[in-house]
Amino acid sequence: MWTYIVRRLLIVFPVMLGVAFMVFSAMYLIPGDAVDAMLRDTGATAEAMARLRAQMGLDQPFHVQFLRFLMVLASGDLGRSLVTGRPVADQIASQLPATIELTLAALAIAILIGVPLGVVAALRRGSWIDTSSMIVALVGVSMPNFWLGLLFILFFSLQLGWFPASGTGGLRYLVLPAVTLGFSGVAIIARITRSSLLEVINADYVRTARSKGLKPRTVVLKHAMRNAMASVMTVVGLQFGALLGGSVVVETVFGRQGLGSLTVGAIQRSDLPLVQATVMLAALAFVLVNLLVDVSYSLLDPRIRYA
Amino acid sequence: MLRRAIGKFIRHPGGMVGLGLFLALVCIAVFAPAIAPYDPLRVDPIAALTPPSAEHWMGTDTLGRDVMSRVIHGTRISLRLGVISVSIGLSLGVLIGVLAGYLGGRVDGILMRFIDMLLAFPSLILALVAVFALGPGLTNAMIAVGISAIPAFARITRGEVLSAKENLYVQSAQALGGSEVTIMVRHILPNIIAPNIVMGALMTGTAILAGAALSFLGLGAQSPTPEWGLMLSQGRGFMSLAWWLTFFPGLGIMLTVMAMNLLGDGLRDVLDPRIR
Repeated sequence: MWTYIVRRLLIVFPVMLGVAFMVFSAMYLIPGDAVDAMLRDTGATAEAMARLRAQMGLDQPFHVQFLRFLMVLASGDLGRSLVTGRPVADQIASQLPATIELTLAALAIAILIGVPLGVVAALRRGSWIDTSSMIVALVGVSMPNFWLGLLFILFFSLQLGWFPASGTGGLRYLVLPAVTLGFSGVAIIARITRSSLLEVINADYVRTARSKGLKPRTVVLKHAMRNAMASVMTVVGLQFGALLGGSVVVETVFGRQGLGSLTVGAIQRSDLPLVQATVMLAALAFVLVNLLVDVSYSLLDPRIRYA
Repeated sequence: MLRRAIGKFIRHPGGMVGLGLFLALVCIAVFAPAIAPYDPLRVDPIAALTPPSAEHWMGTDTLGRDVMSRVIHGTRISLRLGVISVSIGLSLGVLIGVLAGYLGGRVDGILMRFIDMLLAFPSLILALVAVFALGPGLTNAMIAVGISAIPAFARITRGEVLSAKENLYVQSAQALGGSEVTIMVRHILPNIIAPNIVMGALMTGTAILAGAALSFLGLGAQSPTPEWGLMLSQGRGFMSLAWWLTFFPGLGIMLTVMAMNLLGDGLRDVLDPRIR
């Protein structure tokens, strides 16, 4: 078991190296560099800009700059924001909790509603519960989350006044953004739970369990679900990526603090170091969650460990 | 086989609803200038923020522009974005998938590591990186969304190629000395068409959502383009005064994405029940 986890963990390094390469190349391709961004409106002379460029190593060839970028990253220094001048790491640390709170709440909503909805739909296949939950699922995957968020604000904040329309704070501030972000997850998880449960529900071992006289509840929860969970876990892992992307939009809609709104702001202001750091952090989180999913497979299904 | 597939599709209620909706949207997009009651860019300050009425079915925006005309023209933009982005993702993805799957070995290793790198990013974040590198704008948003769609097509194509390669007819073509290109085009490509059609339909919906999200964030279409995501972001400041500014463009996005999802699900059930 541990060798499996370590082996999987080791793959994270080359993948993150690749991510760093892609992010660095993307930034390298942008016309204009950090010096342009910093001194654009200051009327600095071309010589002054060239001097600063040499000082920052921006006149070096691509591979030298990339290696330097890696060394700096490895030392844990994420640089300073070109706009505020504050260390990028501080800015990220101050925004991170809000985003973690939001994505975890959304993920919890997606799983806690999506899985039971899918189970009920599968067990009552063809009934009105099945049909209506699949319609909800279709709407959920088709609805833009920024629109859903605006509709929630319109109804629950502006009309009913139940929740604040924007801002960051306690639970009251979290409800609408979390439901908005989690809604498409509910839809996707319900769909996959339903279809993977339907796949195993008629399998021999489930029939055996049933004919042994086990309670239907035990058969579904202990026997069928365990096998159906593998596909559900995959989707949960992928869904986490969708939530990270979605949080960018949802934080903007609700004017919440967080990495998402930090990233959007950084992109709008061409704040290179900040964009690099936030984007790489999102990739790292996504890669680690998928690793967690892979490990959880091997807990659910011992055959995978030896493959 | 094609006839049987069509017969099966006709009996697929969801697929048919999706197809109907999709065709209706295509008609709206094609004939937008004829259908739209007003010029989508015509400013009329006196009529600003008129609620839905007989004259303006979906009301007017802050500049007095007719929302319905803008939503109708927005259909064009979103469908074009969906088609162009998916074409980019599909062509590059299929190319990578075929090369990786057919040539195998080191080429496969290198290409798939590249795909793994792309997959390490949540897809909207990847699109954000691309838009940051390319600069904001509708065309760049299309390219960015297209890039984020590459991995899906590459992976599915590679898988199909790997299994197609095992077919006896491919091995006999190889034994008979058929050129690599001939074998790829005549014997391998037909196998990967069906799953890519299904993926293409489903990804068009995803691409339209992503494109609208980029525009909503101010990184895609720019004012005064009647793009749905941009209209939503411009209307959100006036929600308590004018709900119609955010309601109708959002409905447009949802119906379009829903059409593509229904169509994609239907095609999948008919053409390729294996992918989910």
